[in-house]
Amino acid sequence: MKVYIVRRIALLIPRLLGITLTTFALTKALPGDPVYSMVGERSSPEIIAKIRKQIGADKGLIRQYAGYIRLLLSGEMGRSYYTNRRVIDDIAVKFPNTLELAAGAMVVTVPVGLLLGVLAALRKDSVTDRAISWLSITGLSVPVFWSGLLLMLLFSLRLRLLPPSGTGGMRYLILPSITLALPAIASLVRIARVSVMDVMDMPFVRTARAKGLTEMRVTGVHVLKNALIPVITVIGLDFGSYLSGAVLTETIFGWDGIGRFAMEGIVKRDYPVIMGCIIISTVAFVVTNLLVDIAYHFLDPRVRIHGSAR
Amino acid sequence: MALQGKIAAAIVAVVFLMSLMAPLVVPYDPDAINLDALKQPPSFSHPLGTDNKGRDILARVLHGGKVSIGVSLIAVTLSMGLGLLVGLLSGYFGGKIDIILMAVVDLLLAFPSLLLAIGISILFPPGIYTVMIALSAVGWASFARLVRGYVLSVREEPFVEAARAVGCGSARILFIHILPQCMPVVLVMAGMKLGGYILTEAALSFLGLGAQPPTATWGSMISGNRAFIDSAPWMVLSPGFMIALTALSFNLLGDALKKRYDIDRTAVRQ
Amino acid sequence: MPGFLYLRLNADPTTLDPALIVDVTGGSLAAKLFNGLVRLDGNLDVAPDIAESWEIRDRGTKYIFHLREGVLFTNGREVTADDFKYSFKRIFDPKAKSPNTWVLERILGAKEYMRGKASDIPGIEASGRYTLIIRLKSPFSPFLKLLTMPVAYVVAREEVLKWGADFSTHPAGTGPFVLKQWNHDSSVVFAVNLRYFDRKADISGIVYRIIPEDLTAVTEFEVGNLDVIGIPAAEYAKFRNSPKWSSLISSAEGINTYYLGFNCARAPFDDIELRRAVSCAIDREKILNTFYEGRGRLAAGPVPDLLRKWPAPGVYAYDPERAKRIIAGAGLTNRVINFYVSADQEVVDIAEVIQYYLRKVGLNVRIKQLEWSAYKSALNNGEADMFWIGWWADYPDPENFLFPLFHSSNHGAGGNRSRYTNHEVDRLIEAGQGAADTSEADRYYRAAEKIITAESPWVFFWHRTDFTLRQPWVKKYKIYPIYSMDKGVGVSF
Repeated sequence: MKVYIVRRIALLIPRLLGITLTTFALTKALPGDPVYSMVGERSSPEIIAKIRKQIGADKGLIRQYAGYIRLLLSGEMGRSYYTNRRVIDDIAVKFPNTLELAAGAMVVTVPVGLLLGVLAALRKDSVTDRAISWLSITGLSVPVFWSGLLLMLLFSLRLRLLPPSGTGGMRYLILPSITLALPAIASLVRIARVSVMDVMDMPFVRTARAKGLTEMRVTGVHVLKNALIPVITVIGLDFGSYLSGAVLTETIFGWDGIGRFAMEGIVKRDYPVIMGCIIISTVAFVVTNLLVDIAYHFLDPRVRIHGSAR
Repeated sequence: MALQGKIAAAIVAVVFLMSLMAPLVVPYDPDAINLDALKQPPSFSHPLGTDNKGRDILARVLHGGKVSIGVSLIAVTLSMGLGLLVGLLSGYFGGKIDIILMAVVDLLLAFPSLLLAIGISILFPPGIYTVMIALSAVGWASFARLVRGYVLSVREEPFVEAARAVGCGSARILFIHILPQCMPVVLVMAGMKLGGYILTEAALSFLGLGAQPPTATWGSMISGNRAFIDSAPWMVLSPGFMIALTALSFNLLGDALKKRYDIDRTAVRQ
Repeated sequence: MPGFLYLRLNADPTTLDPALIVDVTGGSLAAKLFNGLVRLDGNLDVAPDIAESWEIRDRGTKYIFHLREGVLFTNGREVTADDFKYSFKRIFDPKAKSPNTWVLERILGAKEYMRGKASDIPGIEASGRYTLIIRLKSPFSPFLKLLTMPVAYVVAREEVLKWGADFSTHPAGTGPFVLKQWNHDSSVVFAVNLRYFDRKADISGIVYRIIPEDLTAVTEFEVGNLDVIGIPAAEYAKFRNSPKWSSLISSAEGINTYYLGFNCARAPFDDIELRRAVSCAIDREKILNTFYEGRGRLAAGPVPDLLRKWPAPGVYAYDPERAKRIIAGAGLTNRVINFYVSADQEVVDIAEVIQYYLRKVGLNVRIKQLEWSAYKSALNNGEADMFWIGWWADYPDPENFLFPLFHSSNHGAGGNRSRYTNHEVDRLIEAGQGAADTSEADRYYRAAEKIITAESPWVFFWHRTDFTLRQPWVKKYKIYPIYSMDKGVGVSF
């Protein structure tokens, strides 16, 4: 187990290098020059050249990249071109917010998704099953920026129950969490339903039934426990993708997270910010996957962890 | 469930056909500004109302469907094609090719996908072709991974061994024998992805990176008019409804295909 | 009991360091934290700020400022003439990256110092504790007005040295407010500066909430979480027609000009006739009154109505038939006109309306919507045939709407994005800059504006009027035409 974790972390390094290189190449290829945004509406070639030199944009691309990697190795991410603030400080504020939102979405998703999924599986092919299936696919099909706007209009403006935007206590978390959770619930319901159905057909469940255990106990203990693995995969994947920031949800609800930060960085060609955000998101994504794999190990000792497991 | 699939297919077909025949369905030019008929609520002459430049919403929803659905269909085909090619090669030959190709795939899968799509959209001149490229560039990796897994599982099957024994070349085995075997899984994934692509196209338009004005797409109609959701909701509700309806149909279609080919659901996740 | 005033910003201010500010958001916040030598009064005239009086000598090349005594930085130290010298020199430091050097570059020796050729700026001299002498290379009529800009605010040297690159988040100034807390991308909190030398604010402080989405901001306002908001274009009609809100709307005629610019340096719009044809093809008055809901004043030329002290030049009336004739004669049937706009919904809306008008007279216009960075690069490099943009006053002088925008030395990033070149116009603008008094300067500016409007390098659209909406409990709220005028004092509950 320990060897496995160490290996996974070691594998993270070339991947990160690849990602920083790709990101760097991509951002440098984008049309638009950050210096033009830094100088405002009125400037001269002399000032533009001077600022370009200050941020190191006059050097060759390879030297710029090497410089960035050296910076990273010293535990730094540089300063934003525009705000002159340390990128790492900003990420230290925004990433926890993103984490909070991702966790909030999961708190909504997991119980609702599991409950509906199991219910659908137990009442297979009934009206309930159909209704749940339709509901969940609908959730998957509605664009988040649309549902987000509608939720805000209803709960904030009309009913005045919840604050429309901002980052803070629980009350602020509810609307964006639900918005993010809608599609996630849908995929969880579908997976939970199928895996519960799969497990129900397995010999050990039949044995348990034959032994006269109540239906409650069969589903509650045996089925759920065994159906958990695919479910955890889905939860892990969704959680991992939220950690790179839910750009649209964050924008609509004014949530101060990593997605909006990265988006701003892209729009302004603020290279240090883009790089920092992509690195933190990737690390978060990979670590989440690792945790999922470790969870497999504890849930089902039969799952041997190999290097190739994903 | 088979019925569900048929209904879904019918909805998609009707929506797409209506979009293609939009000029016959509504008399209005979708881009025609009418400064004397701004922000009109639905009425007999404008069944879905007009927007803040006096353009007929119904005409724009229909014409927009052509772009939204068309872009997603083409992008899915492109990602599927590239994913199939990479997956087949990677799975069949293994070794170094496999390691390199899968390293690229893993890299792409670990990237925040919307951010990557945004980056690629900015890279090229804005427009629907750029959106197609961005969607495909981000989407092919999961197809490749799926196909590779599938090829690995059939590589040692008797029918492949047999083909090899009678002297078939690699290309022949790959494309004549293995490829058709993969198609059902791949098609199911394509069906599921279509819904997602419609949403991503809409998201890119929402961020101003999609089709160029005045071209209507459902996403750009929502993004362009979202400020009116309270004061003139008809501008935003109909395109949102169409996105949801179409994505829903594609998702149902994917489900039906899956049933039909009896594919284990868990296999069709990336 | 006073409380905090809640306002909205649509983006986090990039910086609060006066040397680096280029955005209106940053400028409007800095105006409440800092002071300069002079400021603008309600009539847009230059009024005392830290300098209580000044003399202008040597044909307008020597300015002597007498500073007020007892003005304190937030750290308790008194402001002296040396602080101004330090603050101005800092802008030109060869290792600094201030983009605002143009504001003060006419000071004697400033450019040499910036290029590292001199160790000091001889044109800035502190004579005793309370006298500052500034010498210019040559007379420059708008100079005093330039000194009202944020880049000319005084900063405390010891604080700059202490915080270095982080001075932006520890902006020690002299203003009516002090920065209490800055949660980046979320909120900025100002508290009243109890040591402020001038009239103190009647509120305890200001909380700026950063809310990127207009709709979200309006919702926040309607539920009472914001005290004042700028009304987004899409919501204007709703509030104007609401009996509950319409009496709570304030407006200020902004000093700005919105225009459709042509690339005058290359075909097809190097042709003056064709540019005139486009002007004739667009019914600006109708667009302003319908689509734009009358939220501006029709422009007659580049100089905003509030700054023009002479009769407005004549403009091209809406005449689509004439436009059609000229365009048909120009042989442009297969030519695609690239129309660049920034990815802002209001701009895209206007672009679509313009495109439709031009389609009707036979011009094939393709809109290219680019996000801000790419848009600016494309414009500065002259890639667009046509573009839509607005210009906002940094200081209230016609010169601000002529020199950067039409002088041939300012092509591209300098402000002249339509790459307009006319040496007679250059000469007239320069003569205005060197004029002894404003009425003389205005004569030159009037002549320059007349040539410019005749050659129509732009289609002059409108000067936008800004509208804000306040809650009924907000008293004595005022909205200003230039961001730097709003010191945040006066408003109360």
